[in-house]
Amino acid sequence: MTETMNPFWFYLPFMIIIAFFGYIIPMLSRKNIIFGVKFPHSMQDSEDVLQIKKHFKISFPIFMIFFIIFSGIFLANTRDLNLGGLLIIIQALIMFIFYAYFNKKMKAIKSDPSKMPPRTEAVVTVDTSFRNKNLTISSLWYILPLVIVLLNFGIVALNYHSIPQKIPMNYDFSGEVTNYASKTFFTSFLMPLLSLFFLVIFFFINLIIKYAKQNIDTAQPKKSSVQNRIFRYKWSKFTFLSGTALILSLFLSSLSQLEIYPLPPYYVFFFVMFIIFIIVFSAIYLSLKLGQSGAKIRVNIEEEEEQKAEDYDDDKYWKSGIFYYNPDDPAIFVEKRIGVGWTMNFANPVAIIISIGLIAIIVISIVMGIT
Amino acid sequence: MYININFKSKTPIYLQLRNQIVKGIAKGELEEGETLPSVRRMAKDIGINMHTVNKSYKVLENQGFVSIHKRKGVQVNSWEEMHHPDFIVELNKRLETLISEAFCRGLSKEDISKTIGELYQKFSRGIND
Repeated sequence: MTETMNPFWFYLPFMIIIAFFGYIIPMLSRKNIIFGVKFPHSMQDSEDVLQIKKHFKISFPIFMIFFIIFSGIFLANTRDLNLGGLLIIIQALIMFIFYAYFNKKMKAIKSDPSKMPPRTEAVVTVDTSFRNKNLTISSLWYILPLVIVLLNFGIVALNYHSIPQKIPMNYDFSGEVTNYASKTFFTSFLMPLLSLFFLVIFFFINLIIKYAKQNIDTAQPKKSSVQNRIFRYKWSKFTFLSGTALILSLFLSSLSQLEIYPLPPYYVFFFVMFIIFIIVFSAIYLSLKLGQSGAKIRVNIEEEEEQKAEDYDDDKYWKSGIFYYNPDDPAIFVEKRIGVGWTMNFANPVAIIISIGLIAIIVISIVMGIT
Repeated sequence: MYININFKSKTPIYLQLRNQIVKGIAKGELEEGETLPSVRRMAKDIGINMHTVNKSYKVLENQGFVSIHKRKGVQVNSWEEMHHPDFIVELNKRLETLISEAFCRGLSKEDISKTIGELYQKFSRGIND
């Protein structure tokens, strides 16, 4: 059965998720940002803007449906599981090309003075008490997953002598082992090392959520300040819960894979898959429910006085609405313009170092996975 | 309080920041003992150079509006610490320019007094509460 199965059926759910998310992402932005371009509040429902939104809503799904059908036919013929991964990357790239294209269209509207209202004063708004309340859960919570990671290292070390010489690395859908690795320190400690890596990543994400630049909508400072705070706190909680669940499932995989504890690998494999699905779906759910910067959170707060000024226009620092490059901004982590979450100021050397580090780790792990 | 910074304004950013903090104190939006964000955080949240924020805080400290502590950070001073009766001289000097301009623009004495009264009303809320 396993040999005749089309890998497409494995990738189809992921492709549908990406297509769905790609469609919904532009609608999760803050109200004054459309395809990564800032518009004054009076322009947000204008004819030209709605026209382009409609254009996206029709063209993107059609393109995605064709792409998925093409992938199905392609994978049915090649039957290569790795090619499926490549197709997923291509699909994500297509999504970004779509955004860049529509970003350009919005910029064209903005640069046409006949379509824009007269300019008013534009300012950056900050809330001086924003950081007085907790924006994230305490870093101390990460002691819990740290204990799991240390336990994992300890158990593997204590049972090192009884670990089999051939360690199963991959399973197929019927639970058969498709790939073995010979026992070394590295392969034995692979899961705890991976856990440690995830722990560090999740711990830093929590700090990023805490220290990322404030982003207050000038037109509604009180409301957006509260929304932003709730937004950060919920994502911080999510990061902790999903990180701990992931580390726990790696712990179980380690016990089962190294035959330290008789957990059937087949069930553990499905348990891990299940956890990953839960994490992905909760992330999608949270994104939809909260919106970028908490734009979708209902807050019943009256603004004290009506603002005459509008948000400062920093479009020129957002390349294609995706990459932030502003040498004059000391902030490293900022809110994304398209999508939900945070990105980096690539004019800052620290951001470049972090990006190179992450790419290096991914490349190294892929290379090690192949050899 | 909410601070609005205009990058394109003729008023330098450090002065905009200083002026708004003073206004916030007068309005009662910043209370005695309240801590302002650190230089680093403020600079990153606004997206400006740290020196600019530092300059602004130093000016506020020199003028007696805030105190800068190593541990506690930048704190708003008490009314007593801010009080400075000699300020009437400075006020006179600054108003002279403004009122001369208002005079040339044809505003009456009543117009000017009324504006001053309204503005004072806006700020005195901080004391009366």
